[in-house]
Amino acid sequence: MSAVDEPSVAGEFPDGAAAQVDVRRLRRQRRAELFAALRTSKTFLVGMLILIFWVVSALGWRWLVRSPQAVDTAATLASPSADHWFGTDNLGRDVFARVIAGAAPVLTVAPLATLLGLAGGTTLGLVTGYYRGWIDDIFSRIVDALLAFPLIILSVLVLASLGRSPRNVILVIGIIFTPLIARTVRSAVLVEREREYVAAARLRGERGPRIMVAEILPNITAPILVEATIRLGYAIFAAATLAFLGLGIQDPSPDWGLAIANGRAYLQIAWWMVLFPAAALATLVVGVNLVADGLRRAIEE
Amino acid sequence: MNDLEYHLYEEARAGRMTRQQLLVRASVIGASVPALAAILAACGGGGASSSGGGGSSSAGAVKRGGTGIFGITSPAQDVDPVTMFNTGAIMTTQLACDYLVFPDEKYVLQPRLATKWVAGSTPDTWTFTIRQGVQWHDGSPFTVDDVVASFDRITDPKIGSAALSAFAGVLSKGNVEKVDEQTVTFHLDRPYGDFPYLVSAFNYNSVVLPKNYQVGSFTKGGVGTGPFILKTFSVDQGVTYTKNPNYWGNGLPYLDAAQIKYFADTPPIVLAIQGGTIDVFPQVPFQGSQALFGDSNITVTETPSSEYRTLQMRADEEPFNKKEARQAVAYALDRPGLVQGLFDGRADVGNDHAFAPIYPGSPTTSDVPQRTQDIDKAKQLLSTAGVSNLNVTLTTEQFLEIPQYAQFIKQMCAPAGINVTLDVQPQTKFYGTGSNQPWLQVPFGITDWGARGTAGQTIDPAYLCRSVPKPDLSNSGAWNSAHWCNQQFDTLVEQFEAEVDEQKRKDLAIQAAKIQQDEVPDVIAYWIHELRATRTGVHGLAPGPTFHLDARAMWKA
Amino acid sequence: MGRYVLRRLGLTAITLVLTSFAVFAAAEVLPGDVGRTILGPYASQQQVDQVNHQLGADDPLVQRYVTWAGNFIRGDWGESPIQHVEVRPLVLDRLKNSLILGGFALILIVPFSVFLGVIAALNYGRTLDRVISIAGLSFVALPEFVVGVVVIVIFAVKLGWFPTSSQVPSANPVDIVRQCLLPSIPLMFVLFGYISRMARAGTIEALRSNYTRTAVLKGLPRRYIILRHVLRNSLLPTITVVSVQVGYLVGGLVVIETLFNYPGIGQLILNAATGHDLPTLEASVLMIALLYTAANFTADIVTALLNPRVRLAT
Repeated sequence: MSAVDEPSVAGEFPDGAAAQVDVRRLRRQRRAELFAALRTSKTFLVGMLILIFWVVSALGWRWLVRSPQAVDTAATLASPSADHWFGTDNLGRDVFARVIAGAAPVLTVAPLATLLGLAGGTTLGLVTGYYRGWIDDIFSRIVDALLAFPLIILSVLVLASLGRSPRNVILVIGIIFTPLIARTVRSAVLVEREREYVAAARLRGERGPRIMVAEILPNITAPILVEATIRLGYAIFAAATLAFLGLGIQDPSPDWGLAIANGRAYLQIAWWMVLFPAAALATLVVGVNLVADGLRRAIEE
Repeated sequence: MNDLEYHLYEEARAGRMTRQQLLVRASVIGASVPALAAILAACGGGGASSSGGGGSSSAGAVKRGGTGIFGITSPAQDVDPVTMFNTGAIMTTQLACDYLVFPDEKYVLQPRLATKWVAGSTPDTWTFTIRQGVQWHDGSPFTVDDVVASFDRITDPKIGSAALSAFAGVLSKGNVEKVDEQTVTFHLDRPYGDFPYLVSAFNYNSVVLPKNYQVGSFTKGGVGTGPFILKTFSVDQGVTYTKNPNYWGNGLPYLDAAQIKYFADTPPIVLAIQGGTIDVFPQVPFQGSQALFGDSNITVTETPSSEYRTLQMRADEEPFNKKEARQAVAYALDRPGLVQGLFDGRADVGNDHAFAPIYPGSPTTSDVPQRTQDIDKAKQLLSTAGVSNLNVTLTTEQFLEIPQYAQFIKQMCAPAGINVTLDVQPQTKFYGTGSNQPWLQVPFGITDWGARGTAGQTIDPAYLCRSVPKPDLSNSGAWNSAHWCNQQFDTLVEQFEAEVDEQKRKDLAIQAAKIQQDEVPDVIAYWIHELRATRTGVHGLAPGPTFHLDARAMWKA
Repeated sequence: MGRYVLRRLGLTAITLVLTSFAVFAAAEVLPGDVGRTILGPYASQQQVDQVNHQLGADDPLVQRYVTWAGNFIRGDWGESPIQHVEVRPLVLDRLKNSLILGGFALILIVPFSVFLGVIAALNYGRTLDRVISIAGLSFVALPEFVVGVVVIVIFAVKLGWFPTSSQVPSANPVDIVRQCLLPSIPLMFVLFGYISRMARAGTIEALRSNYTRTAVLKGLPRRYIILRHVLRNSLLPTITVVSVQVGYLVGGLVVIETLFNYPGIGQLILNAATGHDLPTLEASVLMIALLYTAANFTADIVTALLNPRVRLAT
């Protein structure tokens, strides 16, 4: 790999080991400061509260009094009442139970898609940022080309071809996220690779992959974490949109996007079929974004 | 009074048929006015006035002029009277064309291009008297030759009319005889007592067209003898018609012009009629149109019909090749619940046989006991069939109330130990073409069936042995989607179709219905009440059958 | 300037070729067996082979692409195997409908967002600035159909001011507002955040620049300075963001047109994709790509015209 341009290593730090210890202590200290900042951030706490509520819902809906799947032919399209807090849908299913249970599919698909994108993006970002050269050039062109296209149309195209299923939704979102996350990681790596501790590691004779994983990666967790939470917000957005378009999870799943799509034909007579899932989705998206915003500010400080 | 009329007279005297049923049967056999009067008198009713096709109201109040605007779903195929099978296409042609006879909403046949019809001594010949003095839209005279040519065209296998399946085994090409300038005789392959329905709008391709008609030229305009002349046609923009000034009907039509607007889906049609951009939404599916019921500017009429859904189970392969497994599904369903949940009560409970309650002489629940939900029995039947836990995929279409029906089936089957997975496909994919027609191939499916004039019209293509699809589906019009074959049932149905004695007809129907209900090739859970929505001020439009459009007596206040 | 335009034109052409190839490949290669995908699991292999042959799917990909692209340029876009109509008039008609809706939305959104962005910048650090920024941030996060559903329930169902689904408007301005206003609001929510942020940033930069300071020192009236110097410079990044958002707008239209039952190209793409109507799908996605690259190209040229530095740098 001749095009790889190694950072210049002048002999300013003969004692690499001491520098390494220093870096670790610094890292621990930074983490403590971060927690302290988060504990006082209202944005973060409110967001976290919303997020926890939906996570608990996603895990605990089985213990609701009413099953989200139980149909009732005698009570279709019933308006909200003491019996059905959010009314019933066109099959007589309890909308409240379905809204609570609807957190499960979205909180499965979105985090998995984010994790997939995170794994791919971090690897790609580390490699392109550390080695630079022609890999980096090609990568940048691909990202530009990808961004040049409405992503939702790309997803529609791919999902219609591959077949609609939650697994494919995770794959599509994860793959689209990969270059986007890689770009963030890459710019963080570009800064880190010029630092002394990297030079020191290289002097000790460590190889590229080890430096990337053991030295650089622990120092860029903060921007990766922020990117991940921002991406999680987008993943929820994207997964819900694809479900709404009928390309994701299918009936009888209580998924919110799907519920809104199904309720469309009944808007005039049963607004509760669409309004409550929409509100649920809005709170979750806003919650995740508040967490992301709080995290970003705490780290910047 | 001829034999057929006398049979009916006997029924009336014995009090075995209602006035309405007598009217329907009398219209089929083409009873003469004096005979009908005698029959109705025997029944204890009044004069011979029928429901008067097109629902013509008191003539004095009629306001002439204006344009009638209809909102329907876009035809999913080419619009041609010979090949069409889609409701959008059917209604588009019916404004411009006539049939020999036309059904009203009670399925009573009204004379149109035929003024009289009568069966031979056995109903394997039928003779129709053709209306005189009728003109085509281009001014040329309508003749008996046009009638002969029209039926030769749609019974010609080479032309491939969608009517071929309806005429299979009943009428073959070349068997329509011109007797004189006013009369044609149909020589049937076998006796068929309900034949007039096959030349009515219920067999929608039997539109009468000019003898030199070229298939595919309808949308160019000017074809037909009907009340309106087609002027412009566009798949996107819809269709415009002007009044036919030479229409044979006395003083008809009342409107100066008609217009059809095509829509992709139900919700925009609902909005269009609420907003007043259309006057009539002729075929209203209940699901998604509920808002119309609360709208004070709109009248929704409801008529019982023979429209239904088959929940078909392949009788020739696992897991439904055992009768008990099919019965188990039938016992799992709560039919009154389905009628309530899917239609808010606007349907009649079905009893797993194809003799719809609207047909005169159909078996009632005292003849064939009503099947009701019985989960324990379903479980027991499953174990008899040797299956403890049945896992099966239900494949169907994204259309009308069917996706909801599928969801209810899934939930109702679960307690009986039948685990249903749903596969709801776009309609075009579910129907497919050529040797790929999932609706005829899946082990477990739901299919929508439109209204028919008689039980035979449904049973012939859907339940007879000769209608079992071949593996490559090359026998077109063979729509026995359950692949169910029972020789005894076939024999009974053919006897039923040939029989003109009402009492014998009913006995045969009961026997056939019992076999079908016991064997359950498909679950028939409900018979749908058809809905038609009109804006206040629209008069004279018959409320049904809803995929037919007879607007000749329509007027707007 | 001429060289700059030529260079941009060349790059645009390359992007288009690459994009069209990607579209073609995604539609025809990803499904594996095109015939099988179209016909489903119940079709015979013979029938699948026949469909593949009809579509030319048994030829090499590049050859098929060249044939397809050639036909496309000649105006022969093929016939839809599902709807049995010519693809070209269908796609162009739907595109026209989408342009009406998208154009209406942009005309509504851009001045509004720029105005609020500039207001935020002029009130830099004050409450008004924070309110506008936070609103922008939270609006961006909401999926279009969530906002769409809420406005439909309020303004169409409860208040009855608008229809719950939209038709193509007639030329009557009242009808345009009636049909297009509700669907524009969700698009506005998303675009507002981006555009106002860019306008705000551009204005702040312009306010801090030397020429503004000079103008202030010269004693020119504040309104004159803002209109003459600040606004002009804050518009520059806004134009870029608007052109980039044209791509988003089209994607957003897929959702909005589905929600409002509006017969635009977004709805056509979704139906063509789920119905495996490949000629329609490929033609309409390519039209989107064409539109998008054209918007970017125009934005580049306009940016260059407004900013001599960009023009001379190349």
